[in-house]
Amino acid sequence: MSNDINNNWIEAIKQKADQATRDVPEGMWQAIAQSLPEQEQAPVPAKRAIVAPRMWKGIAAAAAVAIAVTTGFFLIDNDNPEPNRIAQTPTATVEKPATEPGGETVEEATTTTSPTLIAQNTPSPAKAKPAPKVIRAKGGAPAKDSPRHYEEVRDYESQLQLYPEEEEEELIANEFNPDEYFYDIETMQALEELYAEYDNAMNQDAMQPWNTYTDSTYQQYLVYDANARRAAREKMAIHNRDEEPTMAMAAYGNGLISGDRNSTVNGSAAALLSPPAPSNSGMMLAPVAPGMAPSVAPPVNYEYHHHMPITVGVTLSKRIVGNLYANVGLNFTSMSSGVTPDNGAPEFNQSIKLVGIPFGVKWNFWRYKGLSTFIGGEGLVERVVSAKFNNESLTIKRLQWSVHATAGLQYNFTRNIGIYVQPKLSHYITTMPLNTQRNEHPLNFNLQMGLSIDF
Amino acid sequence: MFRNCHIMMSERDISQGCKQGIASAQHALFDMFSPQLMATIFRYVGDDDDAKDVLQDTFITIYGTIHSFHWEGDGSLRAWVTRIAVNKSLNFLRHKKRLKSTTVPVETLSDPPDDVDEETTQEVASLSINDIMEMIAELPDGYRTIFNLYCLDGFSHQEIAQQLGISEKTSSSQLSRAKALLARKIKQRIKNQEQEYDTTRYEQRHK
Repeated sequence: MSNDINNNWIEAIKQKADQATRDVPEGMWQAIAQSLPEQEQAPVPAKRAIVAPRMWKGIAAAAAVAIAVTTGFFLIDNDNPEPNRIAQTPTATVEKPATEPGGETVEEATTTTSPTLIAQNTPSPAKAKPAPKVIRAKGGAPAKDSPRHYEEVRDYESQLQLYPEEEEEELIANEFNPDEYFYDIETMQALEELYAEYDNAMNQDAMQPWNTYTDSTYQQYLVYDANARRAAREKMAIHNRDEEPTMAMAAYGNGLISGDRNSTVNGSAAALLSPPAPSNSGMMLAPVAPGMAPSVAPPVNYEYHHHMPITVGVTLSKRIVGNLYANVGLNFTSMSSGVTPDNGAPEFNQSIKLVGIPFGVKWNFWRYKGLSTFIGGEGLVERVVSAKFNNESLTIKRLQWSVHATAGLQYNFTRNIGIYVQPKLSHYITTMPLNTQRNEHPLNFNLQMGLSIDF
Repeated sequence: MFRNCHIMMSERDISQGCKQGIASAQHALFDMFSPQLMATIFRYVGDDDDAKDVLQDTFITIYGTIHSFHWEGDGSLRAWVTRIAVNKSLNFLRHKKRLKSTTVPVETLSDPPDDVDEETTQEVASLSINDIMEMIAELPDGYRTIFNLYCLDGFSHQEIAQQLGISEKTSSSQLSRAKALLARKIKQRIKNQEQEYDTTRYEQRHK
């Protein structure tokens, strides 16, 4: 069939095709130029001059500096906070401001349903003393087998404002939830000392005749004591594992937030540790159920609205072999959250600033023109450099460790400058004492976008 | 403006400069050959966007392999870069797996009319280069590739068979059908243009 066709017309097409041109899109030369190897961009330098760049290129490939403004937006619902944290604030009335943030008076607050078993009527100024001093000042309990000791026990109990017996039993029967209690570190330390002393006294007392005293209220005290001791030890463990000896830390460690730190610290310490006159025995100090506080502020629930974290970082890449790069860098992350108390108090901010060192590997597995794609794994250790809860500055020494898996796409406008987008799956291994998005969702997916400058 | 600065460089100077990695020579090479290579690549891939990608890839390859180019007189550089562009185009089509499913069933093609030569030759002369390029681009990938290789870029059937992994007979057969299909398209295009012309004249007369 082809033989039937005279090829003159084909020749006419060929002549036209040979002369054919087609518009080349603008910017193509720039795109090509930035893709060219460096040594082809400039005149060939003298041999000595080219050694260093080639060595550098051969060994390090590129020292890539990525100035990345990272926008990590968590795909996990940010507007659905975790169940509210409950902060129960055992507070001495004398230390509290005249009105609570919500406008309620402290006295009104004490009428709430906080699990107060025993409320003391008249707190004394001495209750504001730091807890350890209170304990040291008591000078030692009288001999447990002395009539005086027995008298003191009964006197103390006689001054207690007890709930009706049925209500007491109900309270005792309820499961003790340590998360509903918190103590400042001084209180916890004092309690530990107190409990040790109390245990010792009880062991000794068990062999004494006066211990035959079997008043039911006293037995209930013992039950509360055991529960409170457990709670205190848990708090102590949290503290030892964590941070500075501040009450806020102990509270935040369990997601418990205090509304007014100073008054709470002093108040709780005093309330828990200062026995009413005339008692100064260990036994009387021992029961530390929250009901021992002379007055208890109502539980305050907090809602957190976590804002988008912002990270700025610098990353240095070094080629290991082929398209495999090792990365190490330095980044700064700022996280903030809006915290809304449910008692009508105005919303305030929680902010955390961290400095982190990312380290990992990256593999460029595909490159076409200015486009390149990569996958990588990364570890990140971060340290809090600043943390604020409302106006309160906190010291957090705990490091936050996390691992990240990433895949990314980069487009270079020029040889040295490009943008990248980098989806990242992150897992935060350790949590922060403050309630953050990372705590609520240790495994999250985020997207980073940034500017890459290579040189 | 920048283009005009180095347009006066000879092919030899450009090739030498590119071998030395001189940026202005590389730019001159691009300016000198990119429009022609763009047209060549478009003939093969049949799509503007694809042609741009292939063109960019072509130049990166050219700069990366320029050291293997040997100057053999005027036109040798052009032939060399064109060859690279064609190879890149073929690779692109191969990569896109567009060369495997390109044949038009024989049954759908009738033999070309006997008068295809004379009339088509005249008609080709009357068509613009853009029209012809478009019609070539409209051919099925396989037909278009073989037509380009054989008729326009001077490959033999043996070379085509090696390039595309087909037999020489297949190459020859598909070339015949490509020509027939193209001839029919040209005739149809001319016919449409004439009808359009007549309609326009009729409307002008009865206006």
